[in-house]
Amino acid sequence: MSYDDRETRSLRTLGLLLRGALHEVSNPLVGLMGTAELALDQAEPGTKLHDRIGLIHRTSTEIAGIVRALQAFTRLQDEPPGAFSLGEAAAEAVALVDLVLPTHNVTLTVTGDATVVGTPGDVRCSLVELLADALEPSDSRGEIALTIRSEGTDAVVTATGGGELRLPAAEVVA
Amino acid sequence: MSRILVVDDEEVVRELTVEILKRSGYEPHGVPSAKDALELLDEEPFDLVVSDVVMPEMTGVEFLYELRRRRLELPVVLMTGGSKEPERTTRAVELGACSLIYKPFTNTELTAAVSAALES
Repeated sequence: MSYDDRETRSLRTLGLLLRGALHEVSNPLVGLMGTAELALDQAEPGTKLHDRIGLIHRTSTEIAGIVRALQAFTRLQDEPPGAFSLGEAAAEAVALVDLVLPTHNVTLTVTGDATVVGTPGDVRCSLVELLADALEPSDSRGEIALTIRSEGTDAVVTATGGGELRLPAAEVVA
Repeated sequence: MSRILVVDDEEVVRELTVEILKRSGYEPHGVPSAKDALELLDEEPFDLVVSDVVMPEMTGVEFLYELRRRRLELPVVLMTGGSKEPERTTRAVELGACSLIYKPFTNTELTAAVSAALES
């Protein structure tokens, strides 16, 4: 088996494990978040019990946000190729990276848009990779921008630090 | 008062869903499998079904098609974590056979989905 084949199989296995884990986590999260919300209604405001339940509710809601974002990302991997907004895809990639990667000292932004043709899941993966590479220097801070522009028949996304993604544009929007 | 049949093999989710719907003024009844749900539907009328997708023996999508095969046209809300049968689940929604709510959902999202399905 070639290195590329092994890498593809490893990635497929990781994807399967991620999907399974997200599914298995979603049931207990429904229980945790929902029960905390019901208990919060029953606890007297201003008491320690109310505060503690509030903390459980906030924390479980935060975890649920990460799970939902990853679920949405994995669902996109099943979508067929087509035309879509690169600006929206970039904004979704930024939101996901903001949730799951350490971006405490960094502001992530997107400027520009274009309608491109491609596989939505693959493009999101490439955009996340672009952002992850830009974040890689351990001292990264300040702003990391994804800038979308048209170049001939292509739409090009550049990231602060030099990373680039080039896609066939269906129609340049801005 | 609308009668709602809640189908989920996960006890925590089933009981919580029943509790939330009860507090919202509905009359919910929980069962752990699609088979139990079909038996109950033979005996009692319900206005809506809220069902999990991933269940042993019969999945939520198979349950939905079995309901339609039996000409039971009550609205169905499927709850999914999204990992199994994504194509069939999406297809069922596109055909208007059901609506969909993604786990983990909040209490508000659940009651909103139920209310919308009942109105439709």
